[in-house]
Amino acid sequence: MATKQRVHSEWRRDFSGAIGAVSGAVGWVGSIASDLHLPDGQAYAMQVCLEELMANVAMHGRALATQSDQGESAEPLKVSVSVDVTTDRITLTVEDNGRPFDISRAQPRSVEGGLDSVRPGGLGIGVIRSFADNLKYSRTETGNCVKAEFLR
Amino acid sequence: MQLTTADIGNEITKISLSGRLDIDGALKIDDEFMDIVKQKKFLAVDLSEVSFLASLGMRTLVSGAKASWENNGKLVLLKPQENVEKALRAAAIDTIIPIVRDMGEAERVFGL
Repeated sequence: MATKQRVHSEWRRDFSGAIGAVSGAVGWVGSIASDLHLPDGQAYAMQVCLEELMANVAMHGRALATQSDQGESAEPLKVSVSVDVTTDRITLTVEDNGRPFDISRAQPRSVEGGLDSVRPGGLGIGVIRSFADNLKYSRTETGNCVKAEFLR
Repeated sequence: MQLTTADIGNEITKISLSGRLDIDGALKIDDEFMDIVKQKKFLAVDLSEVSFLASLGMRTLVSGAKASWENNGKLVLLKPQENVEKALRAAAIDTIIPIVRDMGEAERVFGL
Protein backbone atom coordinates (compact mmCIF):
# COMPACT_ATOMS: atom_id res chain seq x y z
CA MET A 1 0.00 0.00 0.00
CA ALA A 2 1.45 3.39 -1.01
CA THR A 3 1.20 5.74 1.96
CA LYS A 4 3.02 8.74 3.38
CA GLN A 5 4.82 6.40 5.80
CA ARG A 6 6.94 5.01 2.98
CA VAL A 7 10.46 6.34 3.14
CA HIS A 8 10.97 6.33 -0.60
CA SER A 9 8.83 5.52 -3.62
CA GLU A 10 9.47 6.15 -7.29
CA TRP A 11 7.41 5.96 -10.45
CA ARG A 12 8.67 6.40 -13.98
CA ARG A 13 6.99 6.36 -17.38
CA ASP A 14 7.92 7.36 -20.92
CA PHE A 15 5.68 9.43 -23.18
CA SER A 16 5.71 10.82 -26.67
CA GLY A 17 6.72 14.48 -26.83
CA ALA A 18 3.56 15.30 -28.77
CA ILE A 19 0.98 17.70 -27.37
CA GLY A 20 -1.58 14.89 -27.42
CA ALA A 21 0.41 12.97 -24.80
CA VAL A 22 0.25 15.70 -22.16
CA SER A 23 -3.17 14.96 -20.71
CA GLY A 24 -2.38 11.26 -20.30
CA ALA A 25 0.83 12.05 -18.44
CA VAL A 26 -0.89 14.58 -16.19
CA GLY A 27 -3.64 12.08 -15.46
CA TRP A 28 -1.04 9.48 -14.53
CA VAL A 29 0.64 11.86 -12.06
CA GLY A 30 -2.80 12.76 -10.72
CA SER A 31 -3.50 9.10 -10.03
CA ILE A 32 -0.19 8.79 -8.15
CA ALA A 33 -1.11 11.82 -6.04
CA SER A 34 -4.51 10.29 -5.38
CA ASP A 35 -3.01 6.93 -4.36
CA LEU A 36 -0.69 8.77 -1.96
CA HIS A 37 -3.60 10.78 -0.54
CA LEU A 38 -1.67 14.00 -1.12
CA PRO A 39 -3.40 17.27 -0.21
CA ASP A 40 -5.36 18.83 -3.08
CA GLY A 41 -2.94 21.75 -3.35
CA GLN A 42 0.07 19.48 -3.73
CA ALA A 43 -1.65 17.23 -6.26
CA TYR A 44 -2.66 20.32 -8.22
CA ALA A 45 0.87 21.73 -8.11
CA MET A 46 2.40 18.53 -9.48
CA GLN A 47 -0.14 18.30 -12.28
CA VAL A 48 0.03 21.91 -13.37
CA CYS A 49 3.84 21.89 -13.40
CA LEU A 50 3.92 18.69 -15.47
CA GLU A 51 1.35 20.11 -17.88
CA GLU A 52 3.42 23.26 -18.40
CA LEU A 53 6.74 21.43 -18.73
CA MET A 54 5.41 18.90 -21.24
CA ALA A 55 3.49 21.53 -23.21
CA ASN A 56 6.70 23.52 -23.46
CA VAL A 57 8.57 20.49 -24.82
CA ALA A 58 5.80 19.70 -27.30
CA MET A 59 5.54 23.25 -28.62
CA HIS A 60 9.17 24.37 -28.56
CA GLY A 61 11.41 21.38 -27.98
CA ARG A 62 11.85 20.04 -31.49
CA ALA A 63 14.11 17.01 -31.18
CA LEU A 64 17.77 17.32 -32.03
CA ALA A 65 19.02 15.87 -35.27
CA THR A 66 21.28 12.85 -34.93
CA GLN A 67 23.85 11.31 -37.25
CA SER A 68 23.37 7.76 -38.45
CA ASP A 69 24.55 5.52 -41.30
CA GLN A 70 21.56 6.75 -43.28
CA GLY A 71 22.57 10.38 -42.75
CA GLU A 72 21.18 13.03 -40.44
CA SER A 73 17.71 12.45 -39.06
CA ALA A 74 15.62 13.87 -36.24
CA GLU A 75 14.74 11.52 -33.40
CA PRO A 76 11.09 11.60 -32.38
CA LEU A 77 10.55 13.90 -29.44
CA LYS A 78 10.32 11.86 -26.26
CA VAL A 79 9.65 12.71 -22.62
CA SER A 80 10.40 10.62 -19.54
CA VAL A 81 8.54 11.54 -16.37
CA SER A 82 9.41 10.30 -12.92
CA VAL A 83 7.91 10.99 -9.53
CA ASP A 84 10.12 10.46 -6.51
CA VAL A 85 8.48 10.61 -3.11
CA THR A 86 10.32 10.82 0.20
CA THR A 87 9.14 11.82 3.64
CA ASP A 88 9.98 15.49 3.17
CA ARG A 89 9.52 16.16 -0.56
CA ILE A 90 8.16 15.06 -3.90
CA THR A 91 10.40 15.45 -6.91
CA LEU A 92 8.90 15.55 -10.38
CA THR A 93 11.54 14.96 -13.04
CA VAL A 94 10.88 15.65 -16.71
CA GLU A 95 13.58 14.63 -19.20
CA ASP A 96 13.35 15.23 -22.92
CA ASN A 97 15.52 14.86 -26.03
CA GLY A 98 14.70 18.31 -27.37
CA ARG A 99 16.70 21.43 -28.01
CA PRO A 100 18.49 23.01 -25.04
CA PHE A 101 16.19 25.20 -22.98
CA ASP A 102 16.92 26.20 -19.38
CA ILE A 103 13.47 26.86 -18.02
CA SER A 104 14.89 27.82 -14.62
CA ARG A 105 16.41 30.95 -16.22
CA ALA A 106 13.65 31.75 -18.69
CA GLN A 107 11.79 35.01 -18.20
CA PRO A 108 7.99 34.82 -17.84
CA ARG A 109 6.05 36.71 -20.50
CA SER A 110 5.26 40.21 -19.25
CA VAL A 111 1.68 41.46 -19.30
CA GLU A 112 2.60 44.92 -18.04
CA GLY A 113 1.34 46.70 -21.14
CA GLY A 114 -2.23 45.57 -20.50
CA LEU A 115 -4.61 44.05 -23.02
CA ASP A 116 -3.49 46.56 -25.64
CA SER A 117 -0.09 44.97 -26.04
CA VAL A 118 -0.38 41.53 -24.46
CA ARG A 119 0.53 38.56 -26.60
CA PRO A 120 -1.10 35.35 -25.45
CA GLY A 121 1.41 32.60 -24.68
CA GLY A 122 4.52 32.21 -22.56
CA LEU A 123 2.48 32.23 -19.37
CA GLY A 124 3.48 28.81 -18.11
CA ILE A 125 6.87 29.78 -16.71
CA GLY A 126 5.34 31.96 -14.00
CA VAL A 127 2.92 29.17 -13.15
CA ILE A 128 5.70 26.60 -12.71
CA ARG A 129 7.72 28.94 -10.50
CA SER A 130 4.69 29.71 -8.38
CA PHE A 131 3.65 26.10 -7.76
CA ALA A 132 7.05 24.40 -7.42
CA ASP A 133 9.10 25.01 -4.28
CA ASN A 134 12.35 24.45 -6.16
CA LEU A 135 13.18 24.22 -9.84
CA LYS A 136 16.45 22.76 -11.11
CA TYR A 137 17.66 22.42 -14.67
CA SER A 138 20.51 20.41 -16.13
CA ARG A 139 21.61 19.75 -19.66
CA THR A 140 21.99 16.05 -20.41
CA GLU A 141 23.78 14.23 -23.24
CA THR A 142 20.50 13.77 -25.05
CA GLY A 143 18.49 16.82 -24.05
CA ASN A 144 17.10 18.54 -20.98
CA CYS A 145 16.32 17.51 -17.43
CA VAL A 146 14.06 19.59 -15.18
CA LYS A 147 13.42 18.73 -11.56
CA ALA A 148 10.51 20.39 -9.80
CA GLU A 149 10.43 19.86 -6.04
CA PHE A 150 7.40 20.10 -3.80
CA LEU A 151 8.08 20.19 -0.07
CA ARG A 152 5.73 18.14 2.15
CA MET B 1 -14.66 20.98 -20.48
CA GLN B 2 -18.21 22.28 -20.86
CA LEU B 3 -19.29 25.78 -21.86
CA THR B 4 -22.76 27.26 -21.37
CA THR B 5 -23.96 30.84 -21.78
CA ALA B 6 -26.80 32.90 -20.39
CA ASP B 7 -27.82 36.47 -21.14
CA ILE B 8 -28.65 37.92 -17.73
CA GLY B 9 -29.71 41.45 -18.65
CA ASN B 10 -27.94 44.82 -18.83
CA GLU B 11 -26.03 43.52 -21.88
CA ILE B 12 -24.23 41.06 -19.61
CA THR B 13 -23.54 37.52 -20.78
CA LYS B 14 -22.43 34.92 -18.30
CA ILE B 15 -20.19 32.22 -19.74
CA SER B 16 -20.01 29.26 -17.38
CA LEU B 17 -17.10 26.87 -17.80
CA SER B 18 -16.82 23.55 -16.02
CA GLY B 19 -14.12 20.91 -15.97
CA ARG B 20 -10.42 21.13 -16.72
CA LEU B 21 -9.23 24.10 -18.75
CA ASP B 22 -6.03 22.34 -19.79
CA ILE B 23 -4.69 21.75 -23.30
CA ASP B 24 -7.59 19.49 -24.28
CA GLY B 25 -10.14 21.76 -22.63
CA ALA B 26 -8.80 24.89 -24.28
CA LEU B 27 -8.77 23.28 -27.72
CA LYS B 28 -12.35 22.13 -27.19
CA ILE B 29 -13.84 25.53 -26.33
CA ASP B 30 -11.54 28.00 -28.12
CA ASP B 31 -13.66 28.62 -31.24
CA GLU B 32 -17.01 28.78 -29.44
CA PHE B 33 -15.58 31.01 -26.71
CA MET B 34 -14.18 33.50 -29.23
CA ASP B 35 -17.41 33.52 -31.24
CA ILE B 36 -19.37 34.49 -28.12
CA VAL B 37 -16.84 37.07 -26.98
CA LYS B 38 -16.98 38.86 -30.33
CA GLN B 39 -20.78 39.11 -30.23
CA LYS B 40 -21.38 40.25 -26.65
CA LYS B 41 -20.52 43.44 -24.80
CA PHE B 42 -20.09 42.58 -21.12
CA LEU B 43 -18.83 39.11 -20.28
CA ALA B 44 -18.57 37.40 -16.90
CA VAL B 45 -16.67 34.14 -17.26
CA ASP B 46 -17.72 31.95 -14.35
CA LEU B 47 -14.74 29.80 -13.32
CA SER B 48 -16.28 28.39 -10.13
CA GLU B 49 -16.61 24.92 -11.70
CA VAL B 50 -13.19 24.93 -13.36
CA SER B 51 -11.05 22.52 -11.37
CA PHE B 52 -7.77 22.96 -13.25
CA LEU B 53 -6.25 25.77 -15.30
CA ALA B 54 -3.08 25.57 -17.37
CA SER B 55 -1.38 28.26 -19.43
CA LEU B 56 -3.10 27.23 -22.65
CA GLY B 57 -6.40 27.79 -20.88
CA MET B 58 -5.13 31.20 -19.79
CA ARG B 59 -4.30 31.91 -23.40
CA THR B 60 -7.98 31.30 -24.24
CA LEU B 61 -9.07 33.73 -21.51
CA VAL B 62 -6.53 36.40 -22.49
CA SER B 63 -7.40 36.12 -26.18
CA GLY B 64 -11.06 36.52 -25.27
CA ALA B 65 -10.44 39.52 -23.03
CA LYS B 66 -8.33 41.16 -25.73
CA ALA B 67 -10.98 40.55 -28.41
CA SER B 68 -13.65 41.94 -26.09
CA TRP B 69 -11.54 45.04 -25.32
CA GLU B 70 -10.95 45.60 -29.05
CA ASN B 71 -14.73 45.36 -29.50
CA ASN B 72 -15.32 48.03 -26.80
CA GLY B 73 -16.49 45.35 -24.40
CA LYS B 74 -15.23 44.11 -21.05
CA LEU B 75 -14.54 40.66 -19.67
CA VAL B 76 -14.16 39.62 -16.03
CA LEU B 77 -13.33 36.31 -14.36
CA LEU B 78 -15.90 35.24 -11.78
CA LYS B 79 -15.24 33.18 -8.64
CA PRO B 80 -12.20 31.06 -9.55
CA GLN B 81 -11.34 28.19 -7.22
CA GLU B 82 -8.32 28.68 -4.94
CA ASN B 83 -5.71 26.84 -7.04
CA VAL B 84 -7.06 28.28 -10.27
CA GLU B 85 -6.82 31.79 -8.82
CA LYS B 86 -3.27 31.09 -7.65
CA ALA B 87 -2.35 30.10 -11.22
CA LEU B 88 -4.01 33.22 -12.63
CA ARG B 89 -2.12 35.48 -10.22
CA ALA B 90 1.16 33.60 -10.84
CA ALA B 91 0.90 34.54 -14.51
CA ALA B 92 -0.23 38.09 -13.58
CA ILE B 93 -3.49 37.57 -15.46
CA ASP B 94 -5.30 39.42 -12.66
CA THR B 95 -3.46 42.59 -13.71
CA ILE B 96 -5.11 42.59 -17.13
CA ILE B 97 -8.41 40.77 -16.48
CA PRO B 98 -10.31 41.65 -13.30
CA ILE B 99 -11.15 38.78 -10.94
CA VAL B 100 -14.49 39.33 -9.19
CA ARG B 101 -16.39 37.49 -6.44
CA ASP B 102 -19.99 38.12 -7.50
CA MET B 103 -22.11 39.69 -10.20
CA GLY B 104 -22.46 42.93 -8.25
CA GLU B 105 -18.71 43.41 -8.40
CA ALA B 106 -18.79 42.47 -12.09
CA GLU B 107 -21.40 45.16 -12.78
CA ARG B 108 -19.22 47.76 -11.07
CA VAL B 109 -16.30 46.77 -13.30
CA PHE B 110 -18.58 47.05 -16.32
CA GLY B 111 -19.56 50.56 -15.15
CA LEU B 112 -23.27 49.67 -14.76
